[in-house]
Parts: sequence; structure tokens; C-alpha cells
Amino acid sequence: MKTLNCEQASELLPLYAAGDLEGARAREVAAHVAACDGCSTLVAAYDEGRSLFAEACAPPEFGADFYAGVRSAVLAEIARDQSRPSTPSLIAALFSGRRLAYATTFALLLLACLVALQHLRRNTRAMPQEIARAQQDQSDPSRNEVIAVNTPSPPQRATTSINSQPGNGRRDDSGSRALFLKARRDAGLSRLETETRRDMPTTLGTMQHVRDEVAVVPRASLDPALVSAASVPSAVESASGESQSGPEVSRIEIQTADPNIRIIWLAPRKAEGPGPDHDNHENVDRN
Amino acid sequence: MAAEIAHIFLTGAEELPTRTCEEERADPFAALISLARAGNALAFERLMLLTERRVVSVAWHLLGNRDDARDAAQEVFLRVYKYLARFREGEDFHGWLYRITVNVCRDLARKRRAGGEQLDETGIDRDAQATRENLRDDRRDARTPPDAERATLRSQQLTLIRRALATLPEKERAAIVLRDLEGLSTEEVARALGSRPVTVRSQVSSARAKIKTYCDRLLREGGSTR
Repeated sequence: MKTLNCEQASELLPLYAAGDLEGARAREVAAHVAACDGCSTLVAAYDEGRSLFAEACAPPEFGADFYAGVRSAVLAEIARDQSRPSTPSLIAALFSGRRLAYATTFALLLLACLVALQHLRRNTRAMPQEIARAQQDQSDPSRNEVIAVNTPSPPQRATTSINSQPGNGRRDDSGSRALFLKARRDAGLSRLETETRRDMPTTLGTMQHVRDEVAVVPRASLDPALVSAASVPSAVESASGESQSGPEVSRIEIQTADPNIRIIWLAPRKAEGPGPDHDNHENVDRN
Repeated sequence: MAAEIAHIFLTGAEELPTRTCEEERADPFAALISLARAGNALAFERLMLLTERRVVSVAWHLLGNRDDARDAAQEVFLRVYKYLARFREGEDFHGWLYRITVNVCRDLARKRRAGGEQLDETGIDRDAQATRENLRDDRRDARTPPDAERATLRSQQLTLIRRALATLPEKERAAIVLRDLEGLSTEEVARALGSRPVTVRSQVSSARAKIKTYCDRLLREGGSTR
């Protein structure tokens, strides 16, 4: 049998005094208490404390009225609960008779609103479909010519160039904006449509950013038909101070997502043709 | 208890379905529970009659006042009624009832604390201080007869012990109330509290030691100024 010291025994005395210890542990504590006066006194103190505790905490006499009050309150609450209609019956009562007609009308109206909203949202999402169509146009030479647009100046400006052959050109690293410029012959103008995949610019501030990324292809490298359509030889030409020997100004129209905003960009063109910075850009892809 | 049950059964015999004496003797609660489960309000009322004293007693010990004990008892019986269908046949009904009572008291105490009605520690200390002062006054008063002095001292000790119980942590208080005041075994307490017997033993031991230390300290302080 293990011999306990006073410290070990004192931890077990509260249990030993109340008879909560069993087996070998109880025998060990009993042996120690028999040999130790201090621990024996402690056991007696715990015994007395326990009886005092039971006496001190004896509940008061609450009386029959107290218990009757508890019972009646509980039974009243149960009766109230039982008289309360259940959820299905509440729903049935709510939608009976004329209320059902009102509810149906309201539901139909709500449905119509939802359909209209969905239609509206689908229209606003037409932009990605336009992009897909433009990509189709790229592969269909009979319809349009998709031109890659480069930045003529300054040379160090970062440009976005989109090749007519997918995978061959350089795209914006972020991938968030793809620019497609379409020149349509049948329109008679070198109309460039700018389309973005995600966030189409709707303010002039953001359009400035787009303009920075759009570069005008020198006229010499463009299809003559397009160039002539895009040229502004009158007042702009004289303002640019260039001679009649070549087109002076390229006109670029950028249609934003907002149909009321169209940016017309008149870019002066260098007379001597594409500079060295144009070497790394593809100019026109014509078929 | 047996007489009480017999009395309750006899008084409402005409309203309850007839059951054999063997069934009633085997487990009177089982009979009442099955009837109450079937929606018999009288059976449920009898179930309350049989158990209300235990419930109120535990609630009073855990919450410390009469009004809270009444609120707790009502909530306990409402929960019993609500969840009686979940009570498994053969399970210890009193253990189940104690578990609900302890949980209800715990919820109520938390609600009171959240509502700013918590048991103020400084309030307890003030009470303890008042008790110490009374002890000193009684001891100084030479005219007090020895028996009266002893009775007063005893009364003060009991007050101290009640205060000591209020200072215990929630779990220790529940454990010692069920073990030492309600007379449940350690295993029954463990089932009621949803813990292990070894944990309950540790909690009870700690609670007893704390109560003793608390009372020793206050009595020593009270007597040191003699």
C-alpha cells in the first residue's frame, strides 16, 4: 500500500470525509489519517462543515400556494400553447377566399417584374456577345477587317495590340480589357469600335485610359479605302500644317458602352511613315 | 413518497385509464409519463406534483432566491412537457429532470447576468462584512447569555456557508448541490450534468475545500478582533 504524505492526503480529504473514496485510495488515506493528528483534525472539520452545509442550505418552506402557482402557470401556458393555431393552419387561413386572389395577383406581378428585370439585365450583358462576334469577324475576312492598333507616339508608351490571328499578337497582361477595333468598309469610315470584355469605360476619365492604349495605324500602312474614309483633309488638315502629299490626320471613333458618348480622335500622322517603334507591332491585317 | 404517489393515484382514479397494480408498483413514473405523453393533462399535473419539490429545491440552491426558483420551475415543467416525447422509456426520469433543471437554471442565471442582474460579488462581500461585524458585536456583548450567543454564532455560520455557496463557480455549485444537498450519487450527478464521474468528484472536492476555506477565513477574521 502506498504511503501518502500530508500534502497528498489533504487533496483527498474532502472526498474521504464524505465517503466518496473507494478501494485502495480510501485505505491509503485512512492509514494516513490514523497516523496524522493534523489530517485527522481536518477530517473532523470537513465532517462538521458538511453537516453545517446541509443545514445551512436547507430550502425554505415555500408553501402549498407557491407550488400551486407554479403548476397553474405551467398548465395555463400549455393550454395557451395548444389553443394556438399551428403553422399550416395559419397559412391556410391567411390564403383563403379573397386573400388567395390578392396573393395570386401579387405573385404574378412579382413574377412579371422579375422577368422584365431579367430581360433588362440580359440586354446590358450583350457586350460579351459583341466581343465574341468581333472575334468571329476576325476569322471571317469577307465581312470585316480587324486591325491591330499601335501607339505611334510616344514610343515608350505601353500599348495594347491585338492581333488578327489569335495567339499571335500581344494582349494586355491583365487580361481585363480586350480591345477590338473594327474597320467597316460598308460604313465608309474608318470607324473603330472599342469593346471591352469586362468594364467598359463609361466616363471620360476612363476613356482617356482607353485612348492611351489605342494607337493609330499610320495611314500608309492602312488600306487606302479605309484611310481615305478616315482622313480629314479640310480644316484639320490645314491646322496640322502638313502638306497635301499624304493624309495628315487619322480619324478614330471610339464608341463607348454609353451610346451617347462617342470619342472621336483626330491623330496627327507622321509624314515619314511608321517609326522604329512600330516595328514590334502589327499594323493591319487585311484579307 | 410511496404514500404520496398512492394518494395521487387514488384521488384521480376515475379519470385515468385503469392500470394494473403491478404496473403501477413497477414504475409509477413510467405510467404517468406514458399518459402525459398521450396528452393527458391530469397525468402531467400529477407528474408535476411528484417532482416539484425537488425541482424547486435545486433551482433555489442554484439561483439563490424564491422568485427565480419559481420562474425556473415553471420553465422546467414546460420543457418537460415539450420534450416528454423524446424521453426514452427505461431512462432515469429523475436524472433527466435534474438535467433539465440544471440547464434551465444555467440559462436563467446567464439571462440575469446579461440583463445586469448578476449576483454582485461586492454585495456578497458586504454581507460577509456585516456578518463579521455581528460576530464581533455578539462576542463583545457580555450581557448576552451563553446559549443565545451560541445560537447566534451558529446562525452566523450558516449564513456564511450560504454565502460561500454563492461564490462557487457554476459547475462546482451544481455538482455540490446535487451531491451533498440532493443526495445523488457521483454517477447520477455526472449523468445530470453531462460529465464524467471523475470530473464530478474533482468539482465536489474543490467546492467542499473552498467552502471550508471561505468559512474558516471569515470566522478567523471575525474572531481576531476580540
